[in-house]
Amino acid sequence: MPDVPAALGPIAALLIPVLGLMFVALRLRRRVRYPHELLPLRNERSPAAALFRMIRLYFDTIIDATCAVLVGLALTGWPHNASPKHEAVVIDTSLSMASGMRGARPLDEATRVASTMLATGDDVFVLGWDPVTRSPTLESKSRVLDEKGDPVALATALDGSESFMSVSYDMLADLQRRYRSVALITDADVDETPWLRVHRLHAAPERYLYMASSTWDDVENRSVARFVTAGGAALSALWEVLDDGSLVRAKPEDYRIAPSDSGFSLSFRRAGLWAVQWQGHILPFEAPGAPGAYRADGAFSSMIAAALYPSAGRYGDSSSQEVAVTIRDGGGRNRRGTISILRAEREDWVLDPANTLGAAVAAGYDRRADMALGPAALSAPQTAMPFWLARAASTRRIAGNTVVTGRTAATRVGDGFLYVRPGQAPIALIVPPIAEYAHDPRPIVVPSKRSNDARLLLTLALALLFGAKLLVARYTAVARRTAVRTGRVSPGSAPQNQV
Amino acid sequence: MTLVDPECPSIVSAFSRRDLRARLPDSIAAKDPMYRRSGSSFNLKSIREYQPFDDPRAIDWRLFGRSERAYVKEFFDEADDEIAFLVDTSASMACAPVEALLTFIGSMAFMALSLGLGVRLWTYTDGLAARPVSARSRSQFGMIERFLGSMVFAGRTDTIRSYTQWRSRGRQRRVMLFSDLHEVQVSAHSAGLRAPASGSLFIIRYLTPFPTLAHHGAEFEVLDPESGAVTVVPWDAPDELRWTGQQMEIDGRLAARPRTFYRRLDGASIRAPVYWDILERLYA
Repeated sequence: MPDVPAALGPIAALLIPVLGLMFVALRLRRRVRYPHELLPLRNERSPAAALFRMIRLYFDTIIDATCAVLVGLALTGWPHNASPKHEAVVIDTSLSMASGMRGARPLDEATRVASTMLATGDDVFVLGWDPVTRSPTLESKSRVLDEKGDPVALATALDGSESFMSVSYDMLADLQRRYRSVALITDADVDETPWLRVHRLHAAPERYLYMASSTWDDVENRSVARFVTAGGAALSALWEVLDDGSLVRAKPEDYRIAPSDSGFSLSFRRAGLWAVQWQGHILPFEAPGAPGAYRADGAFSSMIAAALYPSAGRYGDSSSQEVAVTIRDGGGRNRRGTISILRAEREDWVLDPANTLGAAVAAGYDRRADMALGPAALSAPQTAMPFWLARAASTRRIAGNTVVTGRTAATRVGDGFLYVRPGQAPIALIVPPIAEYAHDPRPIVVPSKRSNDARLLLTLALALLFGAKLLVARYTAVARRTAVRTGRVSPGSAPQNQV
Repeated sequence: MTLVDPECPSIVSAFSRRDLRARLPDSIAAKDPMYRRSGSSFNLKSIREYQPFDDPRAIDWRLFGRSERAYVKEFFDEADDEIAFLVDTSASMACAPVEALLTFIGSMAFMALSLGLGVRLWTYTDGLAARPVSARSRSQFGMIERFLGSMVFAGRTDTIRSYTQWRSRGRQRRVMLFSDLHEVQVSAHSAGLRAPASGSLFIIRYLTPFPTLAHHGAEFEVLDPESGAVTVVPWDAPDELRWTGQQMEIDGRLAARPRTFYRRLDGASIRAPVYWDILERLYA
């Protein structure tokens, strides 16, 4: 329901010109003496006819007054702002808010700021992430604050209830429908809007390790994970993540550390789940296993495979493990796990740039194969990319897999969550995005919903009212034209005596 | 104030020069009095012996006493040369152009008297007035004029009832009805406005067109002069067309009635052609 008392002022102001026009119309009304039976309304004495006559008399004023009421209500926030006097205070509980020493984290400061900002009737909300549904959340914590009473207790309660992964700021638009304004307490660079007030906290200094890539090294026959470091963060411990999510120290013989320009790389003898630890953080990651076996059917395919996969040592050995990639001479086009190739004499086309790192590689075209390769294509190094990508994609990974079905349990592993089923291997590993560790210079813009919806609704209503005006005007004009055209009325003609 | 249009004497003069008698019906225009219609005047036509088809009440009993034979007296019909004027004097007629209406009635009476036709004038509202005003010659026109000048418009209208009352009293075969006919539902009850037997009905409908009172795009509080009710009426071009259409429909129905002469007039209407048309119809 709209807040009528607040809307009375604007409505009254907007009704002034309407009432003025009505007053003028009443002043211009003349009184004449005339037999009612001679008026056109002689047969319109029923209540319905009287009602229509009243509507016809005052339809313009009625529509104008309705427009004034609609615009007045819209100016005060109708139809979405149910409690325009109250404000929503939202605390960001992303991972970056929980970084630092307890008591000096942005989260602790946020609870203190929230307790000072809250006025009577305001509500506290928390932007969070639900590990069970793997989706962002926006929950009210007003009752928790009322029960705990002080910001320290609220921070402690949030420590126990929130997952501190990542958040979606777009959900703030849902609060806009119910509150006069929204105050967000965050350490992220969120832009303010007319309805969103941002209290920016001091972010903790950037100090992190983050995995940049992971792959299987065919040459070394090891799984390699490359990490970037920032802020002087250094690896303090390496953990092996067991299937139940517990951590054990990695044995020195299981891994090697090699420094690199931007950080370091870890290589493992076998695939598995591992976790790196630095100051206050444990970040789990997955070391991928070896890609699946490949098979080459045909002379041309065998030659290509020999050139591209010499170190794999599994050429033609398709019986030892499952075949993941098949290279064949023609046929099987657009089939998953298969690359069909043919020789081409003319190379009037180019390979798909999406598979060649954007490079334009001349190639032929044959509808029987995925790629038709000629001398130019075979001499270009980017031609190997589709083959390498197909082989790399054949590696089974669980990191980043968000498709979790059946009875799974979300187990906290450092900063991430591991999804496991009892007695089975883990099926998914989800870690916070890099933005929770490194500052993203791009500002975050929260889209607005209320203004668009209200504008659309108001525009529709006003358009309907204007349409009603046009319809009435058109009806009267049509009635006049019809009367004249059909000869029922001939204005200005004198009555003729037919005797 | 004279209630005779200045054209009327010349119209009468022109009509007098015409061989009107030759075109009158034999019952009226017969040079031999024996062929003129018998009636109830005091003008003795003949005395003859009683016949079985005669009314016994017409027997001259005094002559019967002297001669012991039954004779009846026949008189000329006095209604043949008299016109009945029925004038609506209800309150609604005050909304009509009163001066033009009275001038029209006075002019018609003047011309009828000048042409030797008698005039008997009744007023009516919701019923016929008890006593008419009668004039037989032009010298008596002043009486008609004074009566018209003293006319007061008040009360409700019931034209059908008043006309029915007149038909039971008046013996004239030619009657002129002056009214705005605002209360007459022409489609349903206009059968009451029937011309007298072997006579003519002249309906002169005087009213003020509402479009001349109202301008487009405005509202009017309309006070009914008879009921006192007030209604608000919006007025624009479609309303005016609708009003005109309704009135033309009424005009058509009234004018199409047998032996009926009909005109709708207002304050701006030219009356002289209407006078001529009426006189033509009187002597047709």
